[in-house]
Amino acid sequence: MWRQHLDKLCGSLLLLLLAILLAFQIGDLKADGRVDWWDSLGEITTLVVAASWLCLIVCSRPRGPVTNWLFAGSFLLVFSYSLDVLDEVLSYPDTIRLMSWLESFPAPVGMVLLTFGLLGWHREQLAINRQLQVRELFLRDHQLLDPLTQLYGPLYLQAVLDRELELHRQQQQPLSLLMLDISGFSDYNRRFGIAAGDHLLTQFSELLTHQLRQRDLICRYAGDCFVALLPQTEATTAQVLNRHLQQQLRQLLPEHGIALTGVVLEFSIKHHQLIQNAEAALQLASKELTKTKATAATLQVVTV
Amino acid sequence: MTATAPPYFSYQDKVLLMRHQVPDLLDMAKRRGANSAQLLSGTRLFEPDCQKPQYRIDAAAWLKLVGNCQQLPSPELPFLTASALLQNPYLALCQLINTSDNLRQALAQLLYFRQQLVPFLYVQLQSGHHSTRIELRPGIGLGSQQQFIAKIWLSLMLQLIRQQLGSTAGTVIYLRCPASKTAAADQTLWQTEVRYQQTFNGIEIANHLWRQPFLRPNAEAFQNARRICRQQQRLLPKRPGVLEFAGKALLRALPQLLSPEQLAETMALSPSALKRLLAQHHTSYSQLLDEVRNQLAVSLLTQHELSNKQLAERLGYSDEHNFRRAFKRWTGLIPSLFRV
Repeated sequence: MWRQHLDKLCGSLLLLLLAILLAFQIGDLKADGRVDWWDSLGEITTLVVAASWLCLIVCSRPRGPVTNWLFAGSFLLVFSYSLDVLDEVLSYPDTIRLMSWLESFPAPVGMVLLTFGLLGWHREQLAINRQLQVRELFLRDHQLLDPLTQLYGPLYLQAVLDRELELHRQQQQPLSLLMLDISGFSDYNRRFGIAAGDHLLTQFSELLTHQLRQRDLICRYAGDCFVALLPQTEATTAQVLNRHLQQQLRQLLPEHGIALTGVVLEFSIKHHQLIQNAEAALQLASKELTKTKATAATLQVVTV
Repeated sequence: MTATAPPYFSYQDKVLLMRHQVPDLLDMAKRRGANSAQLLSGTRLFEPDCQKPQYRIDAAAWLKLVGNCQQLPSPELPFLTASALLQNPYLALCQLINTSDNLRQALAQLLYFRQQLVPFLYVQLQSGHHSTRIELRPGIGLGSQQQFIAKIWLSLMLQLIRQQLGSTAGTVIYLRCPASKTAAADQTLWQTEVRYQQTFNGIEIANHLWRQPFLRPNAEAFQNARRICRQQQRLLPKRPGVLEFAGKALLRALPQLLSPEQLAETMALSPSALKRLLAQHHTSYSQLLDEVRNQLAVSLLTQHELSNKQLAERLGYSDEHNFRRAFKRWTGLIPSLFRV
């Protein structure tokens, strides 16, 4: 990290050296007895602390305006405190005021610059926090999982579908979406209770995870409505998958009047302008699903 | 109840039968990965008490429990709670509405015995030419749990309609909250039209549905359930919530304005105690008065043809101009536009 700041470091070291040379040029060494050791100990400590600030800034900050403020501020402090230390061993003639100005003037200016830089740092940190929060919500947050079935929820589905739609558009690869609804689920819930209904949902979601392929994304969309996102899959394959699931569910629950109603949304490569984003696609799918349920069909294929 | 008990209930009054609502909610939340210690933390409830027949809990405990359940990322919970309530064998009121002749009778029972199901909400009906709107108002300060509790009530109505009339066509749900990012998925849970960012939580039901006969009316079961409800009613204190009581007192007094001191007097409190109480329920005197006027104005405007001047007088405004400004603040429209 510190290599990024070589130019600044060289420049300021040069400046410091010049100032020290100037001090030795103007001043004369004091006799031993006149040096106040306690005083110089305090001043050396402040110098070391200020120098350590400078080192930390140089080692940890990338190039940029905030770093420049911080650097300039702490360098001025180092500059001022070094001359302060020299002041203990050198005595300047009373006629030349330059050294005492050089000694006392940069410190307050440095403090102000440092404060300004810290303010910038604070703002920067806030922005970073905000961004981290957004990313965290996306990648690590268990809020995206449905707690009952451990499948992903609608929010995650939307995000992935958006990305898949983009890929589909760019790479011209087939993409299908299968939305499934367990018809007769509310009756089942009423007859056997909510615990049984929850159990059925868990079983069904396990079935889905086992039966569909590794690359498919399976989500619990809402209630008894599930969505499987099938990349690189055409509608015919999706239909086969759906038939397979129907059979499996019938084996799971032979005599409870439970069946699947499904809609396959095939995103065609030719006219993709119709569906702009995931939200629109999902809305269309659920509208078609309601229609399909009303006609008592089991599956409908829609090409968009 | 002692003789000095106030005519309304607040957070600490035990108004809810535990067995009616808590066990189902706990079970559902547990199946969704929460543990009971986590769910019951801060509620001062113990799980073994759940099954005691007449064990009552206070509003604070119920709200805390709902708040704990809201932590789960499971938007279906209020819907499932409603469905569990509707099937609960211990809840005579739900059997009562399930065996009613039609929606009208069911709602009448639900409102009469409402203390047994959701004492925290009270209902205002707005009838129009084509439909009737049920508006839910908080009877006590419900805080962030208000949406959850309103959703339970609304979903209960919808499920009743779907079960008994076969479809929910002709109903519209009104919600105060803005649409979430997953509004489309929530739509699947509601299975009817939902309008977000409204001024109230409620449901609108087309007038022709009210008299349509239910699928399974059962006069005998109905009478039976009603008897049990009456017995229950004697056990549960039939008192309104603080905000309901205060709101109704203010409404009755209009067009006269009840001063904070007068309101405190009707509630048998000192003015400063009233102020504290209202603050506990996340509101204040002026806010309450404003809401009462808002509701009355909207209901007067939808039902009658009144001029602004008449309305201003009826609502206790000193002049038309003040009324118009307040109305704009409530609805975003000036009264003449709202009439259209």
